[in-house]
Amino acid sequence: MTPYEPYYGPGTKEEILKDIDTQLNTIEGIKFIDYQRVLSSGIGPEKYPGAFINDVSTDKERLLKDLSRNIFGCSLVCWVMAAKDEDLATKMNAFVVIVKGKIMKDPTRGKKAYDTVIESISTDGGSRWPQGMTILNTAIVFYSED
Amino acid sequence: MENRRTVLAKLAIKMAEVDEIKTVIRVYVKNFDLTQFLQAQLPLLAIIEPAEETDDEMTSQRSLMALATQFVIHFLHWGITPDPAYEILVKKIRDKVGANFDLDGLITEARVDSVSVISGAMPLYNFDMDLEMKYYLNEMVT
Repeated sequence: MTPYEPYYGPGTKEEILKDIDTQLNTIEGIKFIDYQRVLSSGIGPEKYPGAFINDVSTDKERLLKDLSRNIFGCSLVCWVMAAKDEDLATKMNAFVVIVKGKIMKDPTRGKKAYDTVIESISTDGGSRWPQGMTILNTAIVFYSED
Repeated sequence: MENRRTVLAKLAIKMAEVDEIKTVIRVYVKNFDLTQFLQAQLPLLAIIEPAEETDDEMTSQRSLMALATQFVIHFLHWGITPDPAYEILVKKIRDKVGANFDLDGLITEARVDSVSVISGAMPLYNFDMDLEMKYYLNEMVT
């Protein structure tokens, strides 16, 4: 296992969102990534699996006149679609594991954040078969010079 | 014979001579508003307004005043552990408040009573250093 790389400097929310986008784009077979969306309305089957990156909240704590600690709430809504001969739960689980792996591969978001924590993972329990939806709520701690 | 005002003013000047310290301030409370300072102004050394106690050296002839003050040092450190920065700051301040630290003859004695461990959270840390100084009392109202 690679030793954890310490964080050395402040970043911005935009840089962090870009890093998440980049990481999700490296998932093999991912078809669609969008921002600030929850529902899959208007998205055809050809765009599964996909993920929506949602900028939910930022808690800012001022440390110095030009330095703040931020806790950025970012929610990832992920979609998969099972074929007739596929088990939706298995496919969904496999996709969540891949997304988790991509997000936690570098918790510093390319040295732009102090840490990334996945706070919760929830699913729709297969109620939208053949679609499966999972929400990963992440908290990303980063420092900013504002 | 000196007074509290000149001793503390000179102490601030002397502590500002430590190269690693960027800012020296005098404050009345320990938890002052650090958000008024920029990153470039750290490490910051705050001199807390001291408690004072008189001490007769020779009864009815000369009085000593003991000032028990505290330095609170705030510093930034982005690395995985702040220990190296802490050790450098403690050493440099201890070197300054070491032998012959008499504030150009204003005080007779200066003694570091204690140095605290590091507090705070990344990247903003702090530690305390208790300092006691003694000077011959000038009886004028200060």
